[in-house]
Amino acid sequence: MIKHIPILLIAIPLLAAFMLPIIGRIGIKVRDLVVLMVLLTVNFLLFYIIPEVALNGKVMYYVVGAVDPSALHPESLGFPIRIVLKIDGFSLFMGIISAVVALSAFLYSQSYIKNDERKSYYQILLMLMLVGMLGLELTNDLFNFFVFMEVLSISCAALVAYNTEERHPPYAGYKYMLISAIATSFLLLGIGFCYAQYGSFNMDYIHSKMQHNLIDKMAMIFMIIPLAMKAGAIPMHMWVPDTYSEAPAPVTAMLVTASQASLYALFRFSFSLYGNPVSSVSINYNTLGWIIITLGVLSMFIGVTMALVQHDVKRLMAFHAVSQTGYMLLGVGVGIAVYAAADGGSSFNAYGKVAMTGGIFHIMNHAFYKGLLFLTSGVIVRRFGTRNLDKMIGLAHRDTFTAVAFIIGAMAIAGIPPFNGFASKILIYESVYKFSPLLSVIAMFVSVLTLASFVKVFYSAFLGPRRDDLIVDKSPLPFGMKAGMGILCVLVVLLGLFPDVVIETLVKPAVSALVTIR
Amino acid sequence: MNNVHFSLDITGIFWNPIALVIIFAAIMILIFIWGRISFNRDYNEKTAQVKPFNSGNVEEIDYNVQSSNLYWGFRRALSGFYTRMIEYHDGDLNNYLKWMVIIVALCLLLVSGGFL
Repeated sequence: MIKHIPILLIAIPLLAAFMLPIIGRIGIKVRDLVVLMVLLTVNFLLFYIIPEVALNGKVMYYVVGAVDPSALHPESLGFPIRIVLKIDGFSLFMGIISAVVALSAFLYSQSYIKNDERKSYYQILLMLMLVGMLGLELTNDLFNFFVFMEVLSISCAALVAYNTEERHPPYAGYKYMLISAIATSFLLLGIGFCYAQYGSFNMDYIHSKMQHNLIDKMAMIFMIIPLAMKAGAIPMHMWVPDTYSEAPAPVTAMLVTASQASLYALFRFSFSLYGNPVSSVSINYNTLGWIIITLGVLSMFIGVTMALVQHDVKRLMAFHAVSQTGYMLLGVGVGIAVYAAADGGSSFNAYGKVAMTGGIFHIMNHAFYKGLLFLTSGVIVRRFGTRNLDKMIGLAHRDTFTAVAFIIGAMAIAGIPPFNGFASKILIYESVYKFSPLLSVIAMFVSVLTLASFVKVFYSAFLGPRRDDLIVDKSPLPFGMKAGMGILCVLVVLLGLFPDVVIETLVKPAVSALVTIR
Repeated sequence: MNNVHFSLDITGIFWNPIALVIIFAAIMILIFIWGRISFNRDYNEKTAQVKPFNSGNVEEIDYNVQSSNLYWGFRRALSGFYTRMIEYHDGDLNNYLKWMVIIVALCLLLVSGGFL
């Protein structure tokens, strides 16, 4: 049974997505129960394989359509033509993030999205979004990757445009769809270059044959830059605030993980497709690292400065998503820059690997605290009927739970101990300092501005006298919304209190999966 | 997994959140005890003490400085930067995609120049 887990992780939510219109006719509660069971099953399966994949370092392969899917070792094939799924430490790490945030978003949606028959469409799209994320995180096939990226993009665009009380969701969805279409077109061009060169889509096979010639390098640019845009790296980030601010709150939380799936692909291609630092003919890792570092530093600084002056609560948080992506790019960029340094790997072992550990740990932390913050923004916007911070006041009197959840998320994103944001940021600060003190100082300054920005939101929305006349929705906070925020609150606190457990169990195996060659 | 500890210790970077929480809790307990012993007890919830005073304004909505007025000095000091940045975020998809094309072109120049 365990050998079928890679395909089950994709097939179960995919099957559920297409069965939901039929199940929805039986009853709304049955439909909701099925979705909940699917999400719990996916989470269970991912946690179930932690001992084997993350702790024992085993890589799970699944050859789709083979009589014995795990019998063939794809790397031993001369010319692999089948679609191969591959779960290593990094794909497992990303899969867990996607599945946990999807569960929280679903619980929150139960009360946030109007519960009628149309909600089946919402849940179908939510399932397809999860399928898209898990698919591109688990696949070892470039064309398959493109297909799952398209599944993810289309479902995201439709969910952004899902009918809510927001002002212009259809236009935001259209914008997301167009941006995604252009990005994936470039991506397909890069994949086409690879296929033309090596006659295969299998990543392990291409990696083993990689020549690092001009065509390969052009393919890398066509694949990596669109992924950076999908991840929200500056100066290609401008769609992020426009889209995140219009989407329903639980969808925005999922959009964060969708963007991080693109970031995953960027790192995966940099290492698992092109990574070969000991080869005499190789890409210049120092230059590639500095490109990623530059994108990261610009994202951090411009993201946070733009967030600081926003009056729209969701737009402010969206700019912070851009800013936090910068930390991940900075950490991994430093790792890449020293990956193939001429010192025989001593700088990589001294601080490059730690910077990557911090950057990758920050992906998980960011998904949880930013997901939490977007969920709290849903409560704020629903209560006041506006996203304008100028028209909010004193919500803490009414929604103490939301206020506490917001404080936890805000302190985590600002990197205040003992929350999870600090644990990953300290790894980034200290390791990046050894690479370039200036970059580390910029990262710390950005954290200060982040705190200032969230103090502004807390002051505007939660503090001040109680004003019931400004509250549009006076109903008590439903259990589902509390549960969605509660799960992420607990994770933010636990990851902050026990960072070493998570780093040893999930983050280090993820880093090791990327840098096996070194 | 055998190397898991409750403190973070990676190549010279050390951080123990549990110790911080214990120290923080101990300080809070000390402040509480000290407060019970020596703080004044003249606070009364049912008097005008609890009402905010803001230079004579009586409308409650005027008690709060609005969020758009916060950090105005920062915004004013960087007004040139913000004018340009807000110009870039104009909602026009053509302009958004232009940046991706520029970055792709720059990277291709790096490739063709042998820098990557």
